[in-house]
Amino acid sequence: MTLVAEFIKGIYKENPVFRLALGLCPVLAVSTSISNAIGMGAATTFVLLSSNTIISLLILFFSKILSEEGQKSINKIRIPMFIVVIASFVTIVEMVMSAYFPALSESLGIFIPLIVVNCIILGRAEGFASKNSLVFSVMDALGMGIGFTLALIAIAAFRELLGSGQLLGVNLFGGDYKPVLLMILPPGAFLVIGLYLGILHWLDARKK
Amino acid sequence: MHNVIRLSIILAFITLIAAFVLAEIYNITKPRIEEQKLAKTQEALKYVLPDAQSLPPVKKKIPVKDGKGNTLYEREEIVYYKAYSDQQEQNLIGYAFKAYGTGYSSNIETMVGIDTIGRITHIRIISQKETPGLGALAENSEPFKGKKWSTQQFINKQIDDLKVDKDGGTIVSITGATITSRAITNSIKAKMQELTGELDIPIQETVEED
Amino acid sequence: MEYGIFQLVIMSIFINNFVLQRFLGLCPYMGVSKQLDSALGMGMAVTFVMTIASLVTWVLYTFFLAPTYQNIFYVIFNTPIENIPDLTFLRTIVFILVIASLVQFVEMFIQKISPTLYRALGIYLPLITTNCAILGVAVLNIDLFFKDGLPSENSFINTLVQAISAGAGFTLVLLLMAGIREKLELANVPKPFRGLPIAFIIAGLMSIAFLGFSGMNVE
Repeated sequence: MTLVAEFIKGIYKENPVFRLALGLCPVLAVSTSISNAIGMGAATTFVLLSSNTIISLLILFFSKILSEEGQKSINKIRIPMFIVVIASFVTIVEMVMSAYFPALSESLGIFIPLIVVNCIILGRAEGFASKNSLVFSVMDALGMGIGFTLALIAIAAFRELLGSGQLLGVNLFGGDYKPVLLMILPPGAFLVIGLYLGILHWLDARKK
Repeated sequence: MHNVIRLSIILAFITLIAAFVLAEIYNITKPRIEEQKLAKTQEALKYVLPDAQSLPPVKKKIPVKDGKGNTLYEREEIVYYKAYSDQQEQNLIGYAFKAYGTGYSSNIETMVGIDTIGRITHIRIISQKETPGLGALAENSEPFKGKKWSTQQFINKQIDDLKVDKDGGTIVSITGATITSRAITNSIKAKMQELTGELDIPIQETVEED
Repeated sequence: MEYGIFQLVIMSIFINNFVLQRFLGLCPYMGVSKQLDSALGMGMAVTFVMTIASLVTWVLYTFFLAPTYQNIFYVIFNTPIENIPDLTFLRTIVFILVIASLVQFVEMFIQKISPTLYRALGIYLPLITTNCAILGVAVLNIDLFFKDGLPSENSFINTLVQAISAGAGFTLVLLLMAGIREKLELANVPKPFRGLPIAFIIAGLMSIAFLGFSGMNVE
């Protein structure tokens, strides 16, 4: 696949949220407002990018300095290695966010450390970065990260608009709008995603 | 066996490098984080008692107990702040304290200001990690669009008034966030009761005769 | 902090259900809830890992990471509290490594005890490591039961109770979902909604039902 195709696939064809059903926990929790969505998306993309890069480099390093046999045994500890790398970057995000973006850090709450168990990150590290070149891994990470962010924004836009009458904190409907509170509460999240998924499947079926 | 040892060493090495990098970044960000916390407390103090020129904290050694009630150790904590309208600390205008309560999914910290007869001047929610969106609503000092909750409800309330509507009181709770509203209200009441003996003002709850 | 055991149990299972209200544990929720028996197996495995992980992480945090009075530096070397290195930033790494190791053990255990369950759970067994509910509970324990870096009253018991209840709540919801989905196989669902979309809609409806618990006053 070309570099550009690698990048684009993360956005639509293999969108991690809508197609691969990965990373659902933060999606539902954080999509109550667009600003939260952007913040979480940026943090996750940073971790994805950094860990894909380091992991791709690590695997390259080991493949160059180790024999065939050595590589087989490294294989046994690859998951814990990936976890340490990913967890480190997540910790960096945790610290930098509480220092420089305290409001966002409070809004996102426990979902910041939970980035480490976002299946997208370990999934891409294991499934892609450990098997492909550095450049491709970077493109994949960027595509997946942006796809994730866009999915988050799509859901958040819906929920924020209906649930609080605002978009990015700007009131759109005037003083008397009675917001559909359900939208920013947990059920709203499930329902919106269910709907989006249903529509997507329907669109796919029509193409055939 | 030899292999396991070699692998463990490699893993430990990588972890050590990670820990080292993190420690460095920690040292860089920690002062900033501490600053932020302090700034937040100062801002909250100013918000709840805007006329205070001097706010000396009153500290006390609080015993920390284990599950069985044995005292493990004592630590010094700020119990409340005295508020004076002048730098010379001659004119006492009230007090400020932090109330802690467990809400829906986090501990909620609220800064409360009271005047010299025990009426709340204002409250400011310092930290909470409740449901995203609803937690932010809780912090609103202005009533938002048809939702009657706002922190302004607490102004001029006395300890007897501190009950949410669902418990028969006058504080309107946030729709869909009863637990959060209740936690805030009850934590303020509990702290006020705790401080009854400490402060020289009558904020004791009147016991209802049945 | 003023929570009794009973209140904590009710809160973690119903009012604050980990899946339907806190959004933790969704991947296995969507993936394994198609049949009742694998749902039960998964629920129990998750509860077990949650409980042990919560206990181990509590111990590690209190004795090694946080500058508490039980920290080994204080107990063994008597370093004054202010000088004990604050290693709480290592929390994420330590916790996730603990969980990953525990899941390995559980995997081996299930493989020996019940190969059928092992096959039924398939890829979802190692995926328990990335189950946000487990790391979520561990982190939540610290957030709720520690104040200013020191354990609050009954912190250990509360942690244990919350972990078990969280697992129970997760299992409960998983079973409910599996029951519904088994029946749904026979129903006539519109084509675009078959599979994942309808599962989400059902979860949404269940979530509304559980919202009803949030008005409960457990005092």
